[in-house]
Amino acid sequence: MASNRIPDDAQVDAALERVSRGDTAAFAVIVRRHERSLRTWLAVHTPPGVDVDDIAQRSFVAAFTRFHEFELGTNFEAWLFTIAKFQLRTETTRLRRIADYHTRYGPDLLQRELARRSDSSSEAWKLRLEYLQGCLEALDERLRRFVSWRYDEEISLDEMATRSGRSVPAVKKQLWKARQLLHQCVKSRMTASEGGAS
Amino acid sequence: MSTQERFAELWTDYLEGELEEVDLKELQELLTADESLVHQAADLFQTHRLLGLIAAEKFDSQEAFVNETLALLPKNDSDFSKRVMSELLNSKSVTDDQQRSSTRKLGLRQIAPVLLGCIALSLVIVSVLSQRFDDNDTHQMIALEEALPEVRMASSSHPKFFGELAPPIGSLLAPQREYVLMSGMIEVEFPAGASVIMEGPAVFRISSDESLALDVGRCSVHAPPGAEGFRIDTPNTRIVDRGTRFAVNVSESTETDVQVLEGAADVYDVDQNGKVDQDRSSETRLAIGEAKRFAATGASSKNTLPFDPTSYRHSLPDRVVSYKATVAADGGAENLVSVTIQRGGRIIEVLADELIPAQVSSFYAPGSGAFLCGPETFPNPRSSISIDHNLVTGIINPAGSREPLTESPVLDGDDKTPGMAIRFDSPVINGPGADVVLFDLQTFANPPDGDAFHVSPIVFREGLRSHTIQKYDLTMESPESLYLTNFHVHFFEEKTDSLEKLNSLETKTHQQAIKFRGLAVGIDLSDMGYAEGEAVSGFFIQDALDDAHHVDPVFIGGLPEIKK
Repeated sequence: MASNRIPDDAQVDAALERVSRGDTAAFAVIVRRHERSLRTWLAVHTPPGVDVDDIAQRSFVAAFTRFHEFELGTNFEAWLFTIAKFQLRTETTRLRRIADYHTRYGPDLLQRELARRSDSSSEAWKLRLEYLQGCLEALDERLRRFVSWRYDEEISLDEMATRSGRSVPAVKKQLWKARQLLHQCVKSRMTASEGGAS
Repeated sequence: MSTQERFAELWTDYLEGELEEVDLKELQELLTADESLVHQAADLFQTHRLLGLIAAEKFDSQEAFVNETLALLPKNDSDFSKRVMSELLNSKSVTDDQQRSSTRKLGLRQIAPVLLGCIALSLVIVSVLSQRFDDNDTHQMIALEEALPEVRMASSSHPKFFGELAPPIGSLLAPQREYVLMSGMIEVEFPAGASVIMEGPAVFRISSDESLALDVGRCSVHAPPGAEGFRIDTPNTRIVDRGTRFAVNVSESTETDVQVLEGAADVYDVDQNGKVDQDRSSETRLAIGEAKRFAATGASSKNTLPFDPTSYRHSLPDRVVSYKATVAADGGAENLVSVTIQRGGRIIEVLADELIPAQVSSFYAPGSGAFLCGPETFPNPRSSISIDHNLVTGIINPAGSREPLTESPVLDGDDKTPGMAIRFDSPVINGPGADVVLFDLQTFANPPDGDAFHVSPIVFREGLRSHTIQKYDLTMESPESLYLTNFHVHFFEEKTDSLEKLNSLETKTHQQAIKFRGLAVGIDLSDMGYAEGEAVSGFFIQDALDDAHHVDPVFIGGLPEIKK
């Protein structure tokens, strides 16, 4: 996992200082520190049809080229996320203008709901990601196998059906069930976490 | 089948990318009818996305992501530093440019007579436009929402534009406005990453976020991955990048030469109305190492040219790009903070503290005059001001010689050489490009390109020679030359033929009433014949006596050695 290579605050502060003086290489430290939270946030707020990593990279590049507008000592992540939100909004606007919008872009209501959820902090979404990892490990092994096929190996539904000896509709049901259970698991852990904190 | 079951089916198909258009319509209807399904859809979509992220992290995507992101950053280390320096003029200069956009179209033949007149007019133009700088000090910030793709001036080297100052580095170039670059070079950056180096004389327009129209002149285009399809429109052709480097030269008679350095370029004929010829026979693909000349519209011949890789310019010449300074109470620049310089093709920002201090070690002026500038009262010894970072303190107006030295200057005795010797606190190592930066006081009554001067070795030997600087990197026409804070000038009424006298003679003090600016130039020790890597402890400066104005070196610093 990437987490063991995340730079600490002191390293990040030093890197910000170096970047402000024109040291491009120091920006790698900044990217390393914030990529996970930014990609996580974008993953859950970016509608279908938009490449998450593309928006994340565009956001980092925009942050780099506009670095002179950033005030050292203030919250870089908040500034980066503001840029990312703008990048995402620009991209979704562009997609909306494309003909055949519904086919390419999917349910407009989903996008609105995702946008409505954008208030949650990046920390909250990183926490969700960690809970999801825990929930995944706790998932029934048969269901976990489908998840692994789907997300790790990215194999087709037909191939999953062949491997499992089931029909394609049955495979879809397994995936639906797995996602439902994982969501419920994360939700309950978040609730427990919030209760403990208060 | 219940609504929930149908929704589960449709939503799973949707996430798997297997939803048909007719089913999408049904899904939309379900979501519209039941808000709880929208929440459920969003929950599962987010879970789906997070699962994808977890899977990606398992395969150590972080390093790949970091590397890919860094590869997308602008190539110049201090690109954003340059933008800081030039942000001042952005918004208003664009407005002003648009107001002037009615400037009529000029060809090279039409430009030639105006060039001469332009020189005479330049002082007037500069003084009028200078007011703009004062007016724009407040344009520091650009709202985030304005960060839409736009074409910018990335860098420049001695640019002279017809009837106007060069746009500041980092400023936006107005779309569809004709720019006449009379001499020098500029680099223009497009939002998708393409960059174009223009060499004057050239007449061009930014025709879109992905194209540039070149009526006459020479340019070198680099369109990296992501910028494919970038195009140059000339009077008779459209050149479309197919990745990644090509050079274009449009002659006065509109013949267009195209040389492809990397990748390929497609060239299409364009009719007199600027429309691309739809006939496929008009399309020519040039691959790497190929070159062709495209004649004017109507002529069918396309002549093969010998491929000349030197026609492509990879970067602007090494030079002082800009500098930063503290701001005094009167709003003028005072102490040097850093200087941004291109050395060996690489742009770096050097802090003032990292520069190797240089102080005046001998001084000889055969007559009286103003030889010191700075505060009203001086420290002891006065000559110590030559070593500080202050851009308005120094030993100025050294004497000189029209002819540069060909032998070692005499520093002592009765037959001393007019001028002054500079000694670095530690030797400067001769590296690529400039090794020393020199700042000069200048006002509009002085030569706009800077006061010419000679630099000579303190001790000549075979292979060493004098070098004459006639044009500074940052001139009175450079937006990057900052306005300086006020200062005093100290006049010596007696002959000041030594450093001792400079430190002790009575002076009359006069406060400058007009605004000065800080010009800057890089001095390459190689131009004096020093070998690469050679350590140089000082040199001798003489005014070139080419006019009534003398050089005013208020700060001289050696650049630190480039780490390999």
